[in-house]
Amino acid sequence: MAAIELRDVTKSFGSVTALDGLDLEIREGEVFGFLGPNGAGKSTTIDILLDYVRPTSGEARVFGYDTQETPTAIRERVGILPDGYGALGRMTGREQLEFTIEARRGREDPDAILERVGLAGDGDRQVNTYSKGMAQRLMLGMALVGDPELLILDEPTTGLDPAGARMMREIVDEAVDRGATVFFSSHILGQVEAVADRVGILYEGDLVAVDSIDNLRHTSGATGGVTVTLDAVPEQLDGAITGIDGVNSVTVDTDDSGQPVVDATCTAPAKGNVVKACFDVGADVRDVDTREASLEDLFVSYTGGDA
Amino acid sequence: MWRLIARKDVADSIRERQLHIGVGLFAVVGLIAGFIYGDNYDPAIAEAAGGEFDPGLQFLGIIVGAALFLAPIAAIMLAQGRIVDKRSRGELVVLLGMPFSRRDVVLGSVAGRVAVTTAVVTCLFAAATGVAALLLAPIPLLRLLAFLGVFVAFAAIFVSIGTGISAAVASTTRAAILAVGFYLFFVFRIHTVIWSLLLNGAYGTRNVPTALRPVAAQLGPFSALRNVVTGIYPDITGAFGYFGGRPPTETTALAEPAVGVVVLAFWAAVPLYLGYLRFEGADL
Repeated sequence: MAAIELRDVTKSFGSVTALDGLDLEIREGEVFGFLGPNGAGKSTTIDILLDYVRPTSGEARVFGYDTQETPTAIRERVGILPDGYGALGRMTGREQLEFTIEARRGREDPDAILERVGLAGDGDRQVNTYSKGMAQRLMLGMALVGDPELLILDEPTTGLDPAGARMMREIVDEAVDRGATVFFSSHILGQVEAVADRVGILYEGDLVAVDSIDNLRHTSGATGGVTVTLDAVPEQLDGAITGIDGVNSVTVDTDDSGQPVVDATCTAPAKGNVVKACFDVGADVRDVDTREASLEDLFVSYTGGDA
Repeated sequence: MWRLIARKDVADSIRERQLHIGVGLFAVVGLIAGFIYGDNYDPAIAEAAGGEFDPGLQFLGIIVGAALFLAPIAAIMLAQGRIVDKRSRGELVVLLGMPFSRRDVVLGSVAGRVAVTTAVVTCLFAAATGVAALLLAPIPLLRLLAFLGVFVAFAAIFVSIGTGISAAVASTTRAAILAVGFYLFFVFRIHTVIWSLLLNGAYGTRNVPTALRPVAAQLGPFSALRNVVTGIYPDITGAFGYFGGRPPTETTALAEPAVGVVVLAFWAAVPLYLGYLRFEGADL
């Protein structure tokens, strides 16, 4: 059974279409990164899964449960870090955890969770007075109560410092180790790359790509490149490189120490040919540096540079 | 699960000091009411009047007058923000991320607020009785308890209306305005005013049945409460004063206590149900 199943889900707010015929299936046990610029519909998708928002048409299921018919069955199985959350009245951090543990029928010790998310010592403060990062840590802790089968995290690293971001990644890893599924959204590409098995790119309410990052790289044509540092630049160099199959563009520049640097954006197989071409035209190669397409390149290639 | 929400709601009223303020205010009013009665009570007059004079009725009149005015406004105002406030501050998405349904949230809010208003109304009665007893004035204990029950129930109706409003709207300002509006609408019996305007053809209306005017007049919760209470215990009629309007003379069947109970049940259930339906279908 799929952990999450979206079938032709459309959601309009008045004249604005937030989601346009979204189809998506997430298998149990996978870490799925949901990527897209602000306003792409990521939060709307998550809101539909938790039944905060009703789809205009289409069907959404979590572990086979229809989101509108049996939202509480879903909420029992899902740990959620929602978008735009607030404190539970004037509760302290510990009171909020105690309430969550009671509501989710968990057996956790509130203090152990506080410690886990780096809030030991802040449990007696009102959540109202927490900083954004502290509130985010607490919400993560609350999402873990009762060992949910599915973690849904909406922009989980917002407001977190680097240590907090690392903690978030550890939490995701631990959840995966015990067999949970993780679905998270982000517009920060590096973090998705670090933890996700598969990535979906959402753009203007439309899922423009779903695949592993490697495959996305391969199929999108978003390319890496190679940088070759030379002694001097022979005249025919530029023409020799641009003629190679798989090379998109070439720039010749000088680095900080005044050495000429040739930078070619190209597919992986073309990288070696670029270096070979440099030798062939008689240049003295000092250094070679290759790079892979970043998720940013991928993103730009799918969304038309509107990231 | 709604019980957990209800318990949180009561705990919230303590954390947010609403319970303290409510209890304090109502206790002060109770103290004043008890003092007015106890201070004016003269055993000599009571004795001279023999069995004709009922000091307990005087006491009940003062308390009923105060509770009629205060209990509904306190109840509706305590309730009107509970859900919409959570919605606007992001608390609702956290609660609905736990295994609560929207119905749990509505039911829990009603139950929690009924508990809070019950405590507050009880304080008024207790403080008044305490002071009167200290001043050695006679206490009509059984009747007092009966009226406490009546006003706890009456306040619960306004909690229900307030929660219905809170569930129906998305803005806290709108909820507050609607709550005050409902209260004033009932107090000033705008429904009778509207009926009179219709009769006079104010909106180009024609053939509006005059006979139904007294019917419209009995449809507010205050009139209904008056009809129920005075039907059972006519002596207290004077305490209602302005609230509920003139007792009906033309269509007496509508002033039956049983009809009043139906009207009260309507106000207890329908606004809440409509608010719940809207909430159930809303995008948060």
